Amino acid sequence: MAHDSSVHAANPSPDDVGAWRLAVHLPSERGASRIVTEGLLEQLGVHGWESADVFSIHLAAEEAIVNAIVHGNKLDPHKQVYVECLVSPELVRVEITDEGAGFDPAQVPDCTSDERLEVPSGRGVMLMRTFMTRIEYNEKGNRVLMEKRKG
Amino acid sequence: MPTHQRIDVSKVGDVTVVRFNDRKILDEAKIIQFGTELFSLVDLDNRKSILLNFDGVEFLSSAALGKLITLDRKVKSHKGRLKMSNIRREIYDVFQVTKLNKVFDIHDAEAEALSAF
Repeated sequence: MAHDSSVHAANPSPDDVGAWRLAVHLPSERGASRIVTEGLLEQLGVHGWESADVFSIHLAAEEAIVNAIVHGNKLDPHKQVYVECLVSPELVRVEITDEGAGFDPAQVPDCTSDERLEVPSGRGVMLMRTFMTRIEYNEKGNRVLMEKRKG
Repeated sequence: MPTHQRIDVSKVGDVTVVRFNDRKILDEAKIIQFGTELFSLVDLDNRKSILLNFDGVEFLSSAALGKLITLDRKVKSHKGRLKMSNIRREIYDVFQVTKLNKVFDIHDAEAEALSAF
C-alpha cells in the first residue's frame, strides 16, 4: 500500500496531533477503493473508534471512492482519483478528488421518494450525508470532503 | 443446480434459504457475481419463496443494495415472496435511512421469517 506522510495541514489543530495520514492516487479501476479502506479500517481501530462509527466511515469512504472512479472518472484508465485521509482519536477526514467533469449534488434525486424507492442505484451520496458529520463538495463537484467527529 | 460462489443455498420445506459467503459485500466484481447468483434463483430455478439470512454479514455497499432491490422486484414479478432475516444493526440502519425497510420484508431471526411464509 502506498503511504505518504508528507501531507501536512496548513493550519495544524489539536485534531492533527498524533494523527495518521494517507495521501494516495488511485487508478480508475473497480476495487481500487481497497487501497484506501484497508489502511483506514486498521487505523480507525488503532485510534479507538467504535464499530458503529467504523461502519459509517467505511460506508461513506467506499461510496465516495466508487462514485469518483465510476461516475467521476468513468473508469478512464488515463484518469486517477486522489484521496487524502486523516484519522485521529476525535476526527476522521477523507477528501476525494476525481478528474471528471463534476456534478451538482443538489440535483441528485431523493432516493427515498415513492417513485425512486425501488430504483436500484442512486443512494451513495445520501448514505455519505447520513453517516458522516459533515460533507462538502467543491463548486465544480469533483471533490468531496467528509468528516466524522466522535460522539 | 448451478454452483454458487458468493451464496450458500439450502432448502427448509418449500423455502429456499440463502446465506452469504462474504462478511463484506462490497467488492464490485463480487457484487456483480452476487447479483447474478441471486437472480438465477428466480430466473433459472424459478424459486418462489426465498429467505436471505444475513447472519455473519458485516457490511454491504449501496451497489449490493441495488442487487437486493432488483432481486425483490424479480421475485415480486414472478409472484414469489422474498424475506430477509438476521440483519445486523448497522446494516438495518442503512435500510432504514434509505426507507428500504418499507420495501423489504425484514424479520429478526430465521425461524420467525420462515414461519411468516
